[in-house]
Amino acid sequence: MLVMNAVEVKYLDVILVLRGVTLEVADGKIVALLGANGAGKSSVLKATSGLLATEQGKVTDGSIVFNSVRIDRMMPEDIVRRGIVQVIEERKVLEHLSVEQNLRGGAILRKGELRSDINMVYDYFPRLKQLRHATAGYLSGGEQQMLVVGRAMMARPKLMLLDEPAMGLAPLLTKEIFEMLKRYNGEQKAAMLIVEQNARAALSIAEYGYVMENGRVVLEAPAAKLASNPDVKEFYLGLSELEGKKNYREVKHYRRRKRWLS
Amino acid sequence: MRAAGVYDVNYAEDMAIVRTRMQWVLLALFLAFLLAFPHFSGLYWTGVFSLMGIILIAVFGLHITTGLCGQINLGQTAFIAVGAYTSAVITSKMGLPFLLALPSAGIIAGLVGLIFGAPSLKIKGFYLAMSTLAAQGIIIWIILHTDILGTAVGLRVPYASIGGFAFDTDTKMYYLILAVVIIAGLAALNITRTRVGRAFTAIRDDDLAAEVMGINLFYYKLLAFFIGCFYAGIAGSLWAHYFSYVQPLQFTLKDSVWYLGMIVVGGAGSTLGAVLGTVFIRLLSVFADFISPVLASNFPMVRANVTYAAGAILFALVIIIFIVKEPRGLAHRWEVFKTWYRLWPYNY
Amino acid sequence: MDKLLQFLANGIMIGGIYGLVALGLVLIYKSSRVLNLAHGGFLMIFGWLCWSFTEQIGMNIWLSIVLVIVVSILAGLGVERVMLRPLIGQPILAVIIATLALGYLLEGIAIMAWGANTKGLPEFIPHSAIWLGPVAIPQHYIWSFGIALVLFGILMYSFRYTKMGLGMQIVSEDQQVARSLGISVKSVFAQSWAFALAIAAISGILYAALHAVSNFNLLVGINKALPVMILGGLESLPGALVGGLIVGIFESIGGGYIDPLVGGGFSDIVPLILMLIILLVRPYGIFGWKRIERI
Repeated sequence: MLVMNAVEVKYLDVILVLRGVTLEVADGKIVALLGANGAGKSSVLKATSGLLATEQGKVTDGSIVFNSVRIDRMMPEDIVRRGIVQVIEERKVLEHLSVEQNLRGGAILRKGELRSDINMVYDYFPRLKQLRHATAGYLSGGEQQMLVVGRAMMARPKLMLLDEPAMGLAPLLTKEIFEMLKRYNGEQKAAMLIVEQNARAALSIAEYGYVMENGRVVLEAPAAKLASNPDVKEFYLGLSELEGKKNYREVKHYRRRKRWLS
Repeated sequence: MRAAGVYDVNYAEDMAIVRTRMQWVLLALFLAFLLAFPHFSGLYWTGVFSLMGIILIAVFGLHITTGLCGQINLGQTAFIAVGAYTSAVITSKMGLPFLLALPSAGIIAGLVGLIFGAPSLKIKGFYLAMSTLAAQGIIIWIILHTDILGTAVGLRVPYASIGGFAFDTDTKMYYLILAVVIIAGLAALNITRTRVGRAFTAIRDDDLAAEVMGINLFYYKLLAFFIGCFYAGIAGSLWAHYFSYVQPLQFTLKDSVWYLGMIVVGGAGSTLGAVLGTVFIRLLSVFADFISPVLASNFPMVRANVTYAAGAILFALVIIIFIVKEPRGLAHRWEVFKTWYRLWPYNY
Repeated sequence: MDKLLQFLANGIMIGGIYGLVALGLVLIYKSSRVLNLAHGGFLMIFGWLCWSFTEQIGMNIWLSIVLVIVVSILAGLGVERVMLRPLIGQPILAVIIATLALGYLLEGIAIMAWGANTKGLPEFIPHSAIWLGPVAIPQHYIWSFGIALVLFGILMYSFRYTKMGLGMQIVSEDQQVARSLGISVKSVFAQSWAFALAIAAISGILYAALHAVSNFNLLVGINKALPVMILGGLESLPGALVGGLIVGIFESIGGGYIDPLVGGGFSDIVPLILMLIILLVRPYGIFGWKRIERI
């Protein structure tokens, strides 16, 4: 469904962020994109959804193809029309509008009656139903995250791009949201590309995963294999093969030996 | 982006304003040029640059209040007026020396600035700008209706004199202004590397975070207004003694707006930007004034109002094109150019 | 008492126009967060255009009005495309200066085309007064007020109940989010500018009908409309109407009673004083959006 081929992304013409990223999201599958800060994961999402343009970024090489149509030079408005919706990081709700207005905003491109869609979102996130007339800016972090995911759901996307949905949320809430995402994927057959620092949560619902570092994909595998991969466990899941207290000198040498490209 | 091979080995070097020997040489040459300027430029251009210097001082002040601290001040002209009238009253009505009038003008303008900056405790950004707009209207209205300040007629101002030496020619005023501009500019440049300057930029970028870090918002915002209006007051004093008279019509809202424009066109938040913006807009304005009679004499069949307006239109048009093409200002363009030059032929 | 009622009536009528002018400003601010300081300039130029079409070219007044409105819509689209679009996302100060320069550009054009004169528009609404009890209200004032109310109604309805209105609100909240939802920010800007300038045209013509066509009309955009906007709240459409009425009433009553005492001119600063008071007491205006800040 979505194929990124050797994509290179630059900001302001001089800051190279993605150095030839190749990845794929198949129809209806959940794919996780892991990596440390600054690896370029958000840029992958923004390149796909076209929002690079809002941050003075550009795809300078390679191609992004969605259902046989090249989208890397398209305007974000057109990309949304084709069924790709991005949930931007940092929970950007429409602050002064109510929860229900936010949801309606999500479906602004669609014609027709929205009531059933809104009810569907309330079904996934019952908390939102209680808050439907509340001003979005005053909601708590978890509620805002639910709102932005619900807003994306309103557009009935074929591919949902999620940028760090678990950021700043309590573990239980994270679990709740990821379960909802899994349920949504199962019921509506929408594909998802989830960028997440919380590797454990992401790998728990994903079917396939990519690991990025410094603008390149350095590892890819089905999610289960990724979760049991010793390197991933060491660097992203915090589980170490070394016993006892963590000896950082050892970690540094270990990383250097691994040489995952720089 | 630094030139290759330029690095710092201690904190003093990191903070330095002038780094390399080449920069010192260029600086010295530039200063020499400024000092020699009146001797080969003729009286007209000396006058142009004298006025530009006075405005530059006020714009430095605006740079500190608006560019560094983020408090938009739409009434800078009114504070210049306060300084001008203070200096006028002190020298002509009270007969006190210029050396007393100059700093007093600054202090009094600064204090008035505190009054109109006080709302910054409760309001921010655009709303604060509106209250400074009201300041512009109210201060001028007060001057217009106060007899000692000469109402609409204005006051005559004696020449500035320091210890018997009177600055009665344009050239002498030029040197006086140049001296003040250099001091003011150095101070403005220096403020960014002091504690106060860092507090200002913190407030500009995110005042909530600044407050949480322990920066006393109210104190620093008021300080920004005080310093900015102090500069305006100094500029006002020089203004009064340069023109030898003060009159409310000299201080319009239009000017306040253009001063802000100079900051924007030059590049907000940069001292170099304040200089570039002032020079650019003033020269443009001189050109616009100059072109009207030229058009009139070359195209006598066109009516007077057309030629008059042509200058104004040209001026406005250039500003618009400029801002649309480079909204971050001249200073930014210069930085991009330097980076490009140093990196060429590479991209990054 | 009669005098007070008269002042009140005058104030309400003129307040409607002020509100209409402010409406154009609010529309642009609401959608693009730009303070269009050239609004007064447009108001003035459209008044001149109308005069020019009727007096210099000899068109029928109603035809002129329609033509001016068409021109204004095109102008709105043009200004948005040429000036505003490149400035999307740039520091807001730059945009403010750009619109200010545009205002002066318009002033220069007006001087070039029509000189610094004052002219009158032909009477297309009868000027004769209607008597409501002790109060005399000239008919054209009532018509202007009515038109203003109708326009307000239309706009407030479309904001609340149409997709276009919601789109504008979203764009004014967060442009990046708007784009991520598929809203074309450029179209929204174009629409709001077109609407806003059409309103400028209508209010410019009405104002000229009530007073005269002159270059000073430009100042209405700043001296009257800005205080109205602040009073009502920068993003609020109903606020513009309410603010306009309040400014109009206070200006009329204040001017009526105090002008004779200070020898005139007091009514000019009344809006400024009102603005200062509201800034100190309730800066967001009566209906404005509070800044939502979370630590």
